[in-house]
Amino acid sequence: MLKIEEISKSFGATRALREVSFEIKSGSVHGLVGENGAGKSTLMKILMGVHQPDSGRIYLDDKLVSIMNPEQANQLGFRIVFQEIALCPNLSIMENLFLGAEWTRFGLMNFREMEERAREVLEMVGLDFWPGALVGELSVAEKQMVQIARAVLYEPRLIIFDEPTSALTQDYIESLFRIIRELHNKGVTVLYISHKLEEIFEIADMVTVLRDGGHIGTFPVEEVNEERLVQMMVGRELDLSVRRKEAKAGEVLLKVEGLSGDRFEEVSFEVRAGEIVGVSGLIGSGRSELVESIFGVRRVKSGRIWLRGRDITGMSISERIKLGMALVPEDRQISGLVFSMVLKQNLSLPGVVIGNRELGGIVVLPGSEADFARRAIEKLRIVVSGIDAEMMSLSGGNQQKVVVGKWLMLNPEVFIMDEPTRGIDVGAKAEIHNLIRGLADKGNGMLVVSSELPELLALSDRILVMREGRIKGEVCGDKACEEEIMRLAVGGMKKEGVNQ
Amino acid sequence: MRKEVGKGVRGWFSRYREVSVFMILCLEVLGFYVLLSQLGYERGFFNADNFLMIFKYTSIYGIAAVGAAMIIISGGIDLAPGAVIALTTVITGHLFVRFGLPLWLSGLCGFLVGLASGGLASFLITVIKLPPFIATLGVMGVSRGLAFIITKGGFYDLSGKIPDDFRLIGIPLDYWPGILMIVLAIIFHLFMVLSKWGRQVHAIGGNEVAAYFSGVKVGKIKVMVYLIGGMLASLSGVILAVVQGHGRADVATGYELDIIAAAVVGGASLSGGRGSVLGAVLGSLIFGVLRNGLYQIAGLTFYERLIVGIVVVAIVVIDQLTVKKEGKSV
Repeated sequence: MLKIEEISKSFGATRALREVSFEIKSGSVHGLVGENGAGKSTLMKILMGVHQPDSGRIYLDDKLVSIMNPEQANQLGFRIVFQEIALCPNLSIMENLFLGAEWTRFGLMNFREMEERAREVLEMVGLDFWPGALVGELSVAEKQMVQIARAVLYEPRLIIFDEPTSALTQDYIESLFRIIRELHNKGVTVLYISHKLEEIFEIADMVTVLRDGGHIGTFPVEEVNEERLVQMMVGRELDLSVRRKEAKAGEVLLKVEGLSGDRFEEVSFEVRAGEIVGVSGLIGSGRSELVESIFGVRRVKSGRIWLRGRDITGMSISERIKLGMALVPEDRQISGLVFSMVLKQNLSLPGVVIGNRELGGIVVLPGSEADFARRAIEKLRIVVSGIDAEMMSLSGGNQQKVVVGKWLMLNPEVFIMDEPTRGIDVGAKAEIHNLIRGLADKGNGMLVVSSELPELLALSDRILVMREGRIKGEVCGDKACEEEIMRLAVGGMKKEGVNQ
Repeated sequence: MRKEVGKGVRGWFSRYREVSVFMILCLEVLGFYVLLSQLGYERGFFNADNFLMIFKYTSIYGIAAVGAAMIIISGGIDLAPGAVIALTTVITGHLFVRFGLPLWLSGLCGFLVGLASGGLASFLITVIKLPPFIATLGVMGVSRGLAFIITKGGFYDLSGKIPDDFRLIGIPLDYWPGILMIVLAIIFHLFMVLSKWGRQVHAIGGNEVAAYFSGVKVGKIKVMVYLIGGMLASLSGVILAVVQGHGRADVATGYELDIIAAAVVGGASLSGGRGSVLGAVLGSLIFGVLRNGLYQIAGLTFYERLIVGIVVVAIVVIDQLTVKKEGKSV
């Protein structure tokens, strides 16, 4: 149906795509994988008319088409669901669905028919909401489903999903797959872009691998396995599932006792030196709220937190940092990075706040700061043009490395990481995993929250499972425990506690 | 491959906004010199006395603009400076003229107005969690209102009581405003660029949540910023009272917007996180020179606001265009 032929695109000196050719069969679910910077986004933007290729051709049903702008792409029946939420929170679900293409009668909004159609698509995507509900009141996962509903609304020929699951909870992922299968049955073609290879195997018929702007290959999914895909994506062998050899747990570094707060209750556990403790649970189970409270970002109602035997419950964030605690927050865009500051200033921020001597203390010495930043860049192998690089120019993986790096330089003893590898490519992911293991081997206590079970299983010595704000159990970090974890996380009834 | 941004002469311009603002200022002075000599007024412009006068009057905006730049960098806005300046002149005048307190003590008490208004603004912003626009709008109303209540429509004449050859530490009074402006600009510029507190102000303005997650005491830093802003505004007020010689409730009307304009011309971004204290003072000087120059050309007095408006927009537009070009290289 869609044939891409020798598409090339450069941005200045960067060659984003180099003579990429492949075919997407009509009615298929076509997976597109590759590391950040492999050219997936560029290709997608070319299909949606955001960019024009420097050379190459696109054929739709054997007819040469040129897609000059997003409007033309829409007219061809192309729709896209972006990874980022691009909705107006102050408008209702219905208004968002029809934004820019409102149905009118005699020049007035035809609310009745729009509402009817809105109900249909909401039902299809499994959102049980009144179309007049404000989008701002929905959770991130629900917003993402509204975006999907918006793409489905126009009965498209081709839907592109760009990392659609990174903001979704498990049960919405299931309904997304159900929607994709329904679309597939209706003959709609789906281009599915994801970092999560399990999803490709679950949903796609064909898969295309891009690397460094080049086309590596297109295969039926039955002919490849995860290992081979990863190898093609990164161009080298990489094993994400290596487990750490049994480490000897040392003294107690972090102790939490009877901690209650916003969305979690009566939580008690310990993290010892040299240990990696995983925290599992569905989104909304109170995981992030728990670790943010331990770091002092949120208030606790009752309970105590000890760091190396010292009660830190009432302390400020900066005091906790000084005592050797760090938190890599869940969302690097919102709470990890300051985009108006350049790379070195982001790397030095917590150090500056606590008056780190290496940076000069009260006065931030430019030379020391540059040196500090260079060491962090080297340590984490951050790929940048220099210490004065704008944060916007970094890829997701490198941005995440900056968020990790700004803490790493302060040598925290208790290092909490909330979704440390969300939305980053496999290469960067493996590097962050190795870093976590290395830090634990050096005798630090690591507390890792993740929605990806394989990640937790590969990293953790033991895993705490949360549901509805409580720790429902602790399991070993073995592959064998996977079912046990899901059982504890989901509880007796499936889907409870996610959608209040 | 990314292009190396920030190297070479163009890099200097884009990285150090102060350099380009200073260039604009120099071109402006040169332009007025040429224009005024063509028209035969050059003796009124290009001389030490006139420059002294420009510095003297600009300092009233310039010192307040130092605080405004810091507040804007922190992601806030301050609408109160004009009213705080007026209330300060009134308090200073009242104590000096009515109560016969010495000038230094009256000035010091006037200075306390800034502490109070800054304190009120930071309380409303950090404790009551009002948006800075609304909080400082309130402070503006309260300050201006108090000034009118105290003066009851009259004004205090200080000039008669200050001897013509008044000196402070051996320096004539006329030199003080300019000196203060330059010294404060340098001190606070270095504070913002080099100190850990200055860096935290930038971080809050850029992304308050990320700053908080990095250990920044957001509330404390904001209180500090609005207190400094208030105190610098009332310092402007003391200078206005002493230099112009009167305390009135209706002076400095609309200055808050001129002060914000100066900060923006000097590189401050109203969305926070970016800006320059030195730039804001240079921006004030650009407007100071503009007013001074236009004033000397007969018949242009009524065009002043119009031209000032056009200049603000023009400088910011030119800046936006250069920023866009730089950004495309990524």
